[in-house]
Amino acid sequence: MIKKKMYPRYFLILTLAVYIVFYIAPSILGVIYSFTNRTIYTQELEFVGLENYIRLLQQKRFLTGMKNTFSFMIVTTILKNVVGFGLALLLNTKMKSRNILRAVFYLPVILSTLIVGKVFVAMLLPDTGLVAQFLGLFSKTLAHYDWLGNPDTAMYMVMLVDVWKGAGYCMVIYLAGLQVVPQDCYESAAIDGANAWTKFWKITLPLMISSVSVNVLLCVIGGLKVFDIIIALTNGGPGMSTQVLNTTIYSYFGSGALSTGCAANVLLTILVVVFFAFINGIFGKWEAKVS
Amino acid sequence: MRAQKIKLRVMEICTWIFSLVVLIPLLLIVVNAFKTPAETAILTLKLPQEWQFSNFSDIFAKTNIVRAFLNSVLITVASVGGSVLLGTTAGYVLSRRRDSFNNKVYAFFLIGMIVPVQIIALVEMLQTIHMMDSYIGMIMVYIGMFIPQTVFLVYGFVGSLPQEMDEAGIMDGCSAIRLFVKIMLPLMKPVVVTLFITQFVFVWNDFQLPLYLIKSSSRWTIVLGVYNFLGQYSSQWNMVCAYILVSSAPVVLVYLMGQKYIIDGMVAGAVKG
Repeated sequence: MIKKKMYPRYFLILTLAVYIVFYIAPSILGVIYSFTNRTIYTQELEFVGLENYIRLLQQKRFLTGMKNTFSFMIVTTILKNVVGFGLALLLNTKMKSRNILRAVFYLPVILSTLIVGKVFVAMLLPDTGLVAQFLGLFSKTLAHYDWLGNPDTAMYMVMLVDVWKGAGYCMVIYLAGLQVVPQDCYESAAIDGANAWTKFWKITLPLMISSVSVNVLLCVIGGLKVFDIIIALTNGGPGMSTQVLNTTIYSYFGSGALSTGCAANVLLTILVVVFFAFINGIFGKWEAKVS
Repeated sequence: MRAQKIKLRVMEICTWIFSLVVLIPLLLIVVNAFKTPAETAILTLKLPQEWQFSNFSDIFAKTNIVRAFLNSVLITVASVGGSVLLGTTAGYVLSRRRDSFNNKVYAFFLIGMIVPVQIIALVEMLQTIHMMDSYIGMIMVYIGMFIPQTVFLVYGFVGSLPQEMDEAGIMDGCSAIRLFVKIMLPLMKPVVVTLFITQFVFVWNDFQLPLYLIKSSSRWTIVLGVYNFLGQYSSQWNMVCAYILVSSAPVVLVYLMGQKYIIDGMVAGAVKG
């Protein structure tokens, strides 16, 4: 009775309304559109079944985008976590300047992805970019190499810049996780004669599973949804070498193929949900085993 | 013991050397923002021969950076404010009164934590309700996007507050609104600050949504401003760097002021999973 009075449901109404109108409605609309023939030119909406999806799965642009999204997601997730974990371990020691260093490594996280990308474009220019100036000290041919303009290396560069920007985020979550690892575990392990390597694999990592799972989830979902960094660095090129799912959606949008773009977006959503459930499941089992 | 200290020193020096990977690109922007166009024909880390503070007055005079900056302030503050207002009220009631209806509503909110925005359909919908290319459209979309996260964090946080707090207020004859505003909201300060900072940084830096939803240059956010400015002035990196510095200042400031809360918030998120 008192609960009804003190925690009234009208507190929920506005929140629900905004959420439904501006989040849920477009989501449902997107699914509906993906089964129609909607383009910017069509007058009448017609139901076309799975046509858009079938077309997508036959199109090189979409398939390349999917392949690139997967490799981007896998490589950046691994690198961000390895670098982030390494930094967290380093900066969890009793170094004097560790607080400044933590702030330095976190700084890229709060900068705009677009700006970061554009700065790296300037740095990676052949001959004149800062990277080329540095490489020129060793070899003229290396300095002349166009890292972003070459389809063989463009994707790797995009991945590296993304790791540069994102590793600090993983670091902070790992640092937070490390604070709850009890120190006496290490002391008793030291008495048993365990070396640093064994300590890491047998004590630190198992106790950090929940941090690992948070980081892997965030990196995988972020990797599937990648957009800004691609537009900033390569705009999907050269050719289609750095095209990802979200940039293909943007190009369908730009060319007016709205329903095809919606279908691509629905497929991206399905991927995100499937990966979320899959990774959550794996780590859930793992966590249960550890504790 | 001594050997350990030396080892620590060596590790510290190595970490600083590694941090150059992060610092050099940032330094590059800072030093080049103060050079002449001739000096920035090739971007180097050399200090400017003469510090050109006029680059900043130039971008203020020649570009619409002030307008873009104010647009970003408006959109960011309104989105984050709206998300906090709507998220705290809902998260609080859902957490305090967990009957079967409310549990379903909570689960319904959580869907939005995972499912990405259907962006083309969003554009179509905003066109239909005449909110395309407008401040209010942008703001409402961000609020809708943030509600799940805000509700989730507030729900968890309120769950950790003792029920006695509420009871004391009820005893004193508080109304529902008074209880929330006078007692609960002040207690939620840590989680509110965390949400404010993380969402502020997100909206300020976002590029994808403004790219889709904003057309007129008078409503460009600062990131769209940088993007288009680069298209025009790509040969004048001194100006571009100055533009970038001005556009990044607010997030760096917010981060420095709220550093403690960001880390706390992430700890809370990470531990609760």
